[in-house]
Amino acid sequence: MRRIAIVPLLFVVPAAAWASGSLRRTDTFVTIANPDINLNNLVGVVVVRGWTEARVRAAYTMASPHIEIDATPIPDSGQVQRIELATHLLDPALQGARARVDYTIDAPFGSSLEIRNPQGVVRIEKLNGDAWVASVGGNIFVSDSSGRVVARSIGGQIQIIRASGYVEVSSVTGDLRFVSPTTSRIRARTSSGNIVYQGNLVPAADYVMETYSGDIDFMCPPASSFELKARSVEGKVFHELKLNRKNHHHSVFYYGNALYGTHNDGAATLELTSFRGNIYLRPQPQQP
Amino acid sequence: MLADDSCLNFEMQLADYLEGEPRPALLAHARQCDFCRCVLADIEQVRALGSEMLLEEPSAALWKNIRAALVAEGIIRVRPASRGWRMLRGIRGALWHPLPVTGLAAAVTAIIILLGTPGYLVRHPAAPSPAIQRASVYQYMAPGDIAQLTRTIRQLERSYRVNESYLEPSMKATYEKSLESLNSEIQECQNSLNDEANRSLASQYLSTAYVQKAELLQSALEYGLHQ
Repeated sequence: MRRIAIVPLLFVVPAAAWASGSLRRTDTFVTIANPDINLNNLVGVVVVRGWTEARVRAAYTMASPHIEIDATPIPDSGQVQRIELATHLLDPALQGARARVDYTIDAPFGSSLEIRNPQGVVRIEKLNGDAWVASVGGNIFVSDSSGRVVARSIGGQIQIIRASGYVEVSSVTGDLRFVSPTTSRIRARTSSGNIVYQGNLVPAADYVMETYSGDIDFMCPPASSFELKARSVEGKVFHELKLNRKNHHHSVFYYGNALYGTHNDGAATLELTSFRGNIYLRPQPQQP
Repeated sequence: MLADDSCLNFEMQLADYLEGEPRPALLAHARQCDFCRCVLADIEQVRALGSEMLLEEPSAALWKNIRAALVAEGIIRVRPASRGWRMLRGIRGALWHPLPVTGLAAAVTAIIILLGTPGYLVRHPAAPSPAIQRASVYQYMAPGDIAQLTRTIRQLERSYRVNESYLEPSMKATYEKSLESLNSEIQECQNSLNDEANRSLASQYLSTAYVQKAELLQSALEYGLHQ
């Protein structure tokens, strides 16, 4: 009889834990001002936000009790310099949504990140440290970052908003989007995705963007200043900007469509390339 | 900056110059022509990056891939471990479809080549991604390099096909779609190589697509074996 009573409890307790939300866990680490955070997840949303405090608060929401979060602070006493977070499936048969873990991390502004989240979105906000992010199918969003950003997603889109540090992004089928960057250097490549740029170019900036079959839509204020090298083999280059065209170089004839020119004083350098897609250069729409 | 025959002469002399032969006329032209100067600077940058790549430490994932290939060949045996049973299932799948020994050697060689081209999930923090660098600057990849890279890709692709069934379905769909995109890009670039007018840019895109495809397959193999 006693045995009969215990058996249902084995099911009830995890179910109650699930219902009460105990599949959420939070860890807090007192850190230096610029800790390194290394995160390996499988599925789910990862959000990292910068804050002024010298500590990291990491909250995890797990889809299954058969998921464990390994959180390792280094060193394990005193101010933490590095935190390693990893999703560990206790039941290897878990897949898809059943393997999902959402991370929400508040970290010092100076934190540097290394994030792998193959099947989920990564969102990074307001950090000064470097960020290295990789995904297979997930989208990556980075905003208000002043450190170096390297983001790769095979199938997801990548969006960089108001970045002021070095930016290097690549995708195979995903779109790339840049909004109001103030960085001096951008490198962007996608095979079949589109590239959209909205914003000014800082003086001496060096931006290189390339897609194979996608379009490039470059929108900038009329006052922006840059040297342009735009070319497409099978697509066309359309521009609505007031460019001072350079004399035709032989390469203009080599490539199907190319446009070299100077916009205002030519303070920055802009190189846009597409093999099959079109390239559009136009004034940035006025903000409402 | 007007185009003339000197630009064409520059291009014709470039290969010899890169081999170390003195070409004062080429350098003189590069000083006068903005475009050719940029081309030369970009190639020098790629060469410099290439030399840096050799110093990079192989990632842990690389050794796991090599180990998996050795296991697949039956050269080493794996002791079953409770936490890794799904990984072993993947290896067992590979054992059912063993790769030729020569293929293994090629795969290892291939992976060594790929050390300089970070996979999507392998971090190389010291320098900007060479793949991006290659994509963003004038591409110079000798025919021999491309031939070696295509051999690499064939090996990786074969390993991928052996292990693809172990990928989570949505990830597999992403990889397949991306492979399709890159294969299409490679095919079109190869066709364009016959077109004199577009050869230079087609060659640049082709090399970049090969590198991206190799990275993609490397990434898929990491997940196929370790999920």
